[in-house]
Amino acid sequence: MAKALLEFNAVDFHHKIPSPKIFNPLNKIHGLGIENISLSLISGNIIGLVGPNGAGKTTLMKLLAGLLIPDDGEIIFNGEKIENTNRPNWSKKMIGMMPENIHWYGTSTPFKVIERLFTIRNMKNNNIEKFLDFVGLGVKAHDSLDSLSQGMHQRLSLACALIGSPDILLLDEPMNGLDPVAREAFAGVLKNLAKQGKAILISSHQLAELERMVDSVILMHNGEIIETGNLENIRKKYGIHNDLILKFPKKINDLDEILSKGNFENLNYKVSEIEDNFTIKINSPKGGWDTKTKQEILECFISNNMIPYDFTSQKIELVEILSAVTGLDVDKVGMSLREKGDNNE
Amino acid sequence: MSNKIESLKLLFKLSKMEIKNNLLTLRMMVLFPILMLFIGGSSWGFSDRNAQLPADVSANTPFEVLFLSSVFVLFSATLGVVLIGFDGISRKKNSGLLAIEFCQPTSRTILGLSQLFGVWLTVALPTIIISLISILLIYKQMDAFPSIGDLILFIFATSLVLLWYASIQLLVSSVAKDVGSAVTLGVGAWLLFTMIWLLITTVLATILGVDATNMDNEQFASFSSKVDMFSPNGLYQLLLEAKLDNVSRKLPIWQLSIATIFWTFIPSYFFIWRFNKLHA
Repeated sequence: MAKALLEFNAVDFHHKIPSPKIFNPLNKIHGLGIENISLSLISGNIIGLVGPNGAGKTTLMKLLAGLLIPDDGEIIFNGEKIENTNRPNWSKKMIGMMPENIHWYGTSTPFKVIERLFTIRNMKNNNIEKFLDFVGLGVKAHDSLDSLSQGMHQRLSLACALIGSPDILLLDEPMNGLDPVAREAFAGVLKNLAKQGKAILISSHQLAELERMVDSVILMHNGEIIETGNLENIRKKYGIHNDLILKFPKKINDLDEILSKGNFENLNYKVSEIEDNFTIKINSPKGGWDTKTKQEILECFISNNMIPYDFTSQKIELVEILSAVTGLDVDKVGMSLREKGDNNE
Repeated sequence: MSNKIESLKLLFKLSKMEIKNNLLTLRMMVLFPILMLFIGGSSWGFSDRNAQLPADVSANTPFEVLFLSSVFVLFSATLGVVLIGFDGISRKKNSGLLAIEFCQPTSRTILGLSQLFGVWLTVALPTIIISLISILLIYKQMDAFPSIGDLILFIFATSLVLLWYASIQLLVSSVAKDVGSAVTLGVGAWLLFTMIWLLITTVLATILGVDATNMDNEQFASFSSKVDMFSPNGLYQLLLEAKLDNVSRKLPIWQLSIATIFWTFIPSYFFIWRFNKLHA
């Protein structure tokens, strides 16, 4: 049975920002952070942590990894409550973290990087090459870091997180710099790890790339969790549905007339024309699309000898979901920045 | 008990790894010939009985040669510690590697100490080896070796001054936010003790009514020896002067011991404290 490996209950954290004063040059104020965060990482689950830049994803990841110490709240690890001071080593043994944007450079090699981390963990160094093989870096084990591509750097970062076979994996923006092929492979590796019972938290500001691999998502905005759960359920809850996109090789002049033949109720659509591409975007009805209506729309065009070369559902972007959940306008939700706090420490 | 032994073993392994990595860097390729020229060259030059030294400087015994060479240790080896250590923490922090290391189930104190020993011994080991080679050069010129006691004092004091600099460098590196501030803070700390300290001593003497116009007078010598205890370079010189005859500014052993213990443990303690508090 799946169990909660790590739980956060009402955790708060604020970064301390230097704010020197004449008589107190070391003065600091509470800056941005995260507030009232409650979540559970469950074995065998892949959770997507989604939010725009500055939402607090990296701060939350660092708190989960024990790199930052919460100001307030409760941490339960494997059923045991942990004090908010330094995280004990036994809990760190069970957490692997892949921080965002590690700059691997220099004449060192993946082998040496992993060798050092093995040594830090007091592990034997006799299977480093096999270990690097697991993330597809076996053949590059002794190449210099400068000669590796961005994708290989990401694999090396993942390898660092996997050392010691931790039960919880925290991956901060792991898809950055990966090409589509590498992303597929990466998703496959993560699914395998989840099958082995690992709890995986993977952060991204791109919803689409997470959609296929996560079991549920945590939506963050302005340092708070604004929604959690299955993505499909969130969409249903807030009435967010995919728009239909039809692309034609030439302009359709009598579009209103064609669609009126179909007896569709309240069909709202927009058209755009770029060179030879004529695109129709039909807004989703309130309850979402049913298969029959989509089929009828397609038939309506085909019966009028208008054959689309593309017929798809538009991917829903993060900003649209955030807009629905926060109630903010789509244009404003991405640009809304938090003001920094001003409480003296 | 076995946990402590395990921790010491781990510290030894990590320090060895740090030293190995540091020794193979381009910086070390630059530093090694500088150390050789400065320490070896100065020992060879000062021990040449036919050499005309500036002012009334003279070196009549092997230890006096080593004492004069210690000025070149201060100019080369301590700069070497700056070269190796100025970005020891900031580089790892900015690259994200420190976050990965902090996620590992190992105490930060051990990680910090391995950094400290890594930077220190990377420079201290070649400096000691070159100092031993210098002893042979001195023997070639003067047909005499320094006594074992003199040699131990020289190596002990030289190793300590490099440890003090390593602690200071890593402490300022842990404060630095980027490469620019790491260079500024690292070189600034070196300049303070190597170039500016005499100016500070003179200004303080003037403020406190000590005659600083004649540096040979006893009152100033006594004052400067006390101020020098607050500088690693000054204390290094004071430690070596303890073995010299005809030196007017000798301090009691207990004062030197307290200053040595202070410089050995306080900057290292602050570095480890800071390292434990560091946000990766």
